[in-house]
Amino acid sequence: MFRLRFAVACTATLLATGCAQLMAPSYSSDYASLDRLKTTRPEKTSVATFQPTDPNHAVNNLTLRGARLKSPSGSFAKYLENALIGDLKEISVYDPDANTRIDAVIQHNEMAIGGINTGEGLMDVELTVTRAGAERLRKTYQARTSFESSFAGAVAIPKGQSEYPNLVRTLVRNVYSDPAFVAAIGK
Amino acid sequence: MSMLRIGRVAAAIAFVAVLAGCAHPIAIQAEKTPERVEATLSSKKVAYVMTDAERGKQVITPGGGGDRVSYYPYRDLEKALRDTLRSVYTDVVVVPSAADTKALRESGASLVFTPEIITTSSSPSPFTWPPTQFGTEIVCRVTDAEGQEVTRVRVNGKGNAEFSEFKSNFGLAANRAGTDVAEKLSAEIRGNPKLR
Repeated sequence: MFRLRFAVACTATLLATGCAQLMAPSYSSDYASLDRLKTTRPEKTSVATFQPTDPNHAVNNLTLRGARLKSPSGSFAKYLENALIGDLKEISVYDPDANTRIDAVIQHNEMAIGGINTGEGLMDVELTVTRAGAERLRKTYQARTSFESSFAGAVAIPKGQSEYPNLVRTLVRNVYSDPAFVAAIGK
Repeated sequence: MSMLRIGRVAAAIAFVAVLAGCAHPIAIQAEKTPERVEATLSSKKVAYVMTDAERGKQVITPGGGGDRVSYYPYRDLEKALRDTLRSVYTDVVVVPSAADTKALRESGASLVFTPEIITTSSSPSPFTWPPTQFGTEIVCRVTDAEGQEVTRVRVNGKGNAEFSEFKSNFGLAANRAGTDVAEKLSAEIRGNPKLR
């Protein structure tokens, strides 16, 4: 009887987590830093296609203890690209034809949930700002997030899933708060 | 009962107890937020209050099978709240406190929305933990730039999802509740003459 109950519990856990393809939740900006960026009155800015676009590239293939984390945008490079476009639209700065352009290459993208108590989000992105073809900024930004996790996959896997937008938000906040970036897209 | 048998049973009980004791994390962002139509916007600039402490506030409510779910209502629903205000007003900013009247005056905001978010969840399933029913209530105290109360608005959103729909998102019922509450909040603000 005990074995039956245990098997039911394990099966339910697997059904609720493992073997599934998980979708990363939608992005939500760090609005305080976005509002501060708006007060600097940036130039109209466009956003290039962020790299790598290859859906098989490592940065576009995240796994959470074997369960695949998918991007609702198709790739995590596109997820970040859409995040910046949405933010620039929100502060009325986005213009796809603008001379000032942001390019980005994701170098590292990981949700590390192998730990017993703590999980980590890690992201490195090389960001370039050009104006009329002339480079104004080239810099690698990093985001490191830490969150409570568990040895139990039924907890750790959905936690890693729900924390991905916070990793991107942290990275984008670091970009918007950098005086060098503010100057690069400024007048 | 042999010592080996006792050890295996104890380990299994501990494992199940840990699973039962932990809350399963979900994200409760809205699936969709109210549309912003420039021609219909009020020309007012408004602010909403949200602190980092609120964004970091974790809430735990019931799921299915006797398990619980955990989430961050303010962090997850901030976009829905902001998009809702942006569906009514031309300009929206966030401020960390409604009490800082000097900062509010400098921001140029004529109305300040201070939201309280209350959530409920449940599932009739004995074996699976994701909630199939979710409720999100938003109560906003609205003040002017001097801190005087203008009005209060209260809306309730509900979301339902069946287990077969979850597939890649265990917070689906909550996401639907977020969409519902955002639409209702937008309509409530639009319909209140004190807020136009």
